[in-house]
Amino acid sequence: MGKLDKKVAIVTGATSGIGRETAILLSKEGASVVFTGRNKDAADETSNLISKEGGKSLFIKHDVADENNWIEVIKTTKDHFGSLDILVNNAGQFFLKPIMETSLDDFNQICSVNIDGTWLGMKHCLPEMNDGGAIVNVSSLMGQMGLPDASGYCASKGAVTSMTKAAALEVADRNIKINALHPGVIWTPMVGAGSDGDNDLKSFFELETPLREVGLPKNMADAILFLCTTEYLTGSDLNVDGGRFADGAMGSNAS
Amino acid sequence: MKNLKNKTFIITGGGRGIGAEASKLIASNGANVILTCRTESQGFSVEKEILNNGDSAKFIYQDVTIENDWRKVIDEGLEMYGRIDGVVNNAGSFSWQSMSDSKLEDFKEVIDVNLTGSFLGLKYGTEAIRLHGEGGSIVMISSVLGKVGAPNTTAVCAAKGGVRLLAKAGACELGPEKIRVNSIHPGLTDTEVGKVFTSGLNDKKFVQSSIPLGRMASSEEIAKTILFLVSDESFFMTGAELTIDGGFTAG
Repeated sequence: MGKLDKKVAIVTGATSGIGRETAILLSKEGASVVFTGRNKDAADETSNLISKEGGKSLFIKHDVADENNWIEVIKTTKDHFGSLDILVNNAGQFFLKPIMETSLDDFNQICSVNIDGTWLGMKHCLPEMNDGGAIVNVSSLMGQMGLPDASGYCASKGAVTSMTKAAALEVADRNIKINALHPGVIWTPMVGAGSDGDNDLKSFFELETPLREVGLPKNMADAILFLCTTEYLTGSDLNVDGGRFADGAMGSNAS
Repeated sequence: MKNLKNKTFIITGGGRGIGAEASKLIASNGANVILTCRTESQGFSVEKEILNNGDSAKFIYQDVTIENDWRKVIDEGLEMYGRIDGVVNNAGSFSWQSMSDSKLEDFKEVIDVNLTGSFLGLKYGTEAIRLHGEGGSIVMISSVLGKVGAPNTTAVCAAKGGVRLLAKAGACELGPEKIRVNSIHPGLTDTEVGKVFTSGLNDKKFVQSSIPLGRMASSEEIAKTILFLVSDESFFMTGAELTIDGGFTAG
């Protein structure tokens, strides 16, 4: 008996990191999972990990900033698995550049993935989604506070945080729950993890976090599963950041 | 589901409402539950229900505002189960009255039970968790009234707002020891307190019109959130505020 038996979920950006771990966990809990991303080779690894646990999944190559692409993903999902209950808008982009060196193209690019991608997912999934379903938008701690050299990232994640609440209010009468997850520093390829992972950087992040740890994709997947199964939480923010929001990101400087 | 086997949690205000449901749910996940409250008949009744279910529980009388009562609860808990892994500071006191009608002692009573009681739970819970040094989880039951204001709730808002930041300060101080401290902010819940609040409303449609999900929460739903926060599924969460209000404060 899984927590998500008979449910159908779409997870974007699931060829690595948080998305991959989430696709695997939702599948373990009984959901049929459509996972999307841009890297076919990495997708095979996610597929293998899911089928090894006996789960059902389907990979679809997907640019979340492309509206027609979304329509195809949702159509394929319904053709393949028959319905839709859960959307995890996880795909996202990150870069660091001082605002004075950031071009409008840079800014528009990150906004198109992080904002348009999330908005399009909600817009096109909601009409096709069963009542009582759930959407989790992966925002960021930086959707709640600032970070130097991250004006584009902060702007885009701030937008995700706010539109999550607006959309939640619109579909509450269908008992669809929409919440935002705010990861802190999660040790994924996006922030420097990998085969040539930088241990000094990891130690720096650990010292900056009250819990003295960096987060792991598994921690985020657990939180996303919680948000997919909660019955009364909607329009809400879930910080999973080791305490960084609580201390105003002062880190070790505070003690 | 016995994920919490060999762990022990203290749940204050465990005789009814959210505290009773949290006690039952946490016990059914394998933990030893020490539930406390001031109404002994209710405390013993929840203890009996848990034991009848084959799970582990002990009721201890406690006034959360009294330091000696905390020492007694911790000592008895350690003697019975050998370790403490967390505290759910759920005991609360409410008063719905205009500021001008409130006497200083009314205000102090609400601050005492909600805020001082939670501080003592944090302090003594931390001492007990430190004995094994493996970290733990302390959960503060605040309220949406710890995030937004409302008429006739000055004492409750002051107390619950205090609890919200007490959790964050505790999280910052105790993070390096892997003692996690988070707050939960329920909206209207189907408890005695919730019923008193709604029975006093002139507009009976308030619940349906002001809560986007169109209903109050059940105590069981809040209890599931507490379970999440005491379990390893929330391993990287500390200093966070978890608002579970059916969308009430979303817009």
